[in-house]
Amino acid sequence: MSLNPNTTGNRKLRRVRAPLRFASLRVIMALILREMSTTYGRSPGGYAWMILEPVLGIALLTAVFSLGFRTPPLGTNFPIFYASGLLPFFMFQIIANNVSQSINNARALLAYPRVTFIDTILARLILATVTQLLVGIILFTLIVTVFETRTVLKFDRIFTAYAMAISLGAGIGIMNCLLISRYQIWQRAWSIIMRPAFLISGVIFIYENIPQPYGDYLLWNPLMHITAEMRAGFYYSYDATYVSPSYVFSIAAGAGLLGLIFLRRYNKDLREL
Amino acid sequence: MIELRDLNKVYWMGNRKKVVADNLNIVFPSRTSIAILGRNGAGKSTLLRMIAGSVDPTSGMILSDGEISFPVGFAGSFHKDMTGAQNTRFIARIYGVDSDELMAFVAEFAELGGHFHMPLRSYSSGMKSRLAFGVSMGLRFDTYLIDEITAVGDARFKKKSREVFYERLERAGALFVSHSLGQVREMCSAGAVLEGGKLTYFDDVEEAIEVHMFNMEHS
Repeated sequence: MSLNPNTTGNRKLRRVRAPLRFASLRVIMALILREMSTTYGRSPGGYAWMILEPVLGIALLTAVFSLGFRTPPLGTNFPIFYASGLLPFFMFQIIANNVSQSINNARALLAYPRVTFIDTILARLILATVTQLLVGIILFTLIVTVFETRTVLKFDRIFTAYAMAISLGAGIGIMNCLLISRYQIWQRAWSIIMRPAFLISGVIFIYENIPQPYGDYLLWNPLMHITAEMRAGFYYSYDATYVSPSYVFSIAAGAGLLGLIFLRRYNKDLREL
Repeated sequence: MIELRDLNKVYWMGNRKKVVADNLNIVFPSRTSIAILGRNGAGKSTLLRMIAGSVDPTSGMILSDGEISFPVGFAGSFHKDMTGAQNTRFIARIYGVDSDELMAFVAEFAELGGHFHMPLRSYSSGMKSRLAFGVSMGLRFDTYLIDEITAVGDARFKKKSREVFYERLERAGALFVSHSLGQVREMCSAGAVLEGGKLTYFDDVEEAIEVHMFNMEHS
């Protein structure tokens, strides 16, 4: 808040709304709680579904894929192989989707000058991240205890994989948030672009399965790096030396920055749409 | 008090330029109920939303030494799947006031009974308006913004609403947009006329009404 030297009585004059005030923790908390009670507000169980839904979804996918092959590309256990690809993939996708919808969903709330775009974006980013982390912890723990997975966890690489998925989701989400608000058609275009992503992001195969030069082409897809890093975190002998975290982080930062610059630029217009 | 400093607001409707504020410099005193008068489309509501902080000026700034309300009775952000209580709690959280206190006030004021704990989609439009008005009255602002207040409820509820609102105005100011000159005379002591991007302030509401009527006749 820019304070003004002019005072009347003992109270200071402030601007009714700073151009882009930094987020306030209280508003973000309120938005998160609102989101939690409305997303699954109508179904019994409420927030529990936000966790259960992906858990069940991934369990089903794993079961289906396990039927088609004798052994997974790495190790001997199907559930852990698919889960280690699906979980970071969904982490990215859900964050990107949620963040990209934040302006659309919160437009009515912006009538309260207390609520800013940054608040709504951060609220959705935090909620999606925490939810997906919970999903990950539950599923991985379940799989590792129930099955004989023969995995040795390298927590530093798991951590890097999650960090990449979260930041890429946030970056792409912020960029899309602005693009969707300005060009409605982008939402459809993006969903078409993302449709084959599941198949070319190393979720159901690994880089080494793909003949060259196609394997190297796939490395342009940042999601390939994320899934491979996660695999490296679970399979002791799998090093995935081709993974480049800086490549993923650069794309995330680039997209996010672009989004934020546009956000600043179009902040005025967006409020009045 | 609220100060408009070098305030400009221009927007485009198709390819027609619309000037709402043309280099306005004005100070609205504290604890005064001020009517904003002007012909249809002069930009009264836009001006009000700029003061609320939900619309940005093209240039210049709006300063205030107190808390300014969102438009009184605003219900657009209520979520239909949340109960009246949950919606109230959300606003209490945003404004950092005690949730239980606000909820107790609204529950009693809005007279929703058991519906207060039911999802908003089951509300009639009257119930929704009573809830929204209750929330606005439950929060203590230094300036209340009113854009065409529409009285809700039966005669008794209207009387109660008016009493509570006047009680708030004993310690706060208001900016009031209305087409009903009767309401304006009843509620406001001062007035400001918005015409062609220029805003003129009058300490006496009658004077403002006179200028406004003159503008209307000579358009």
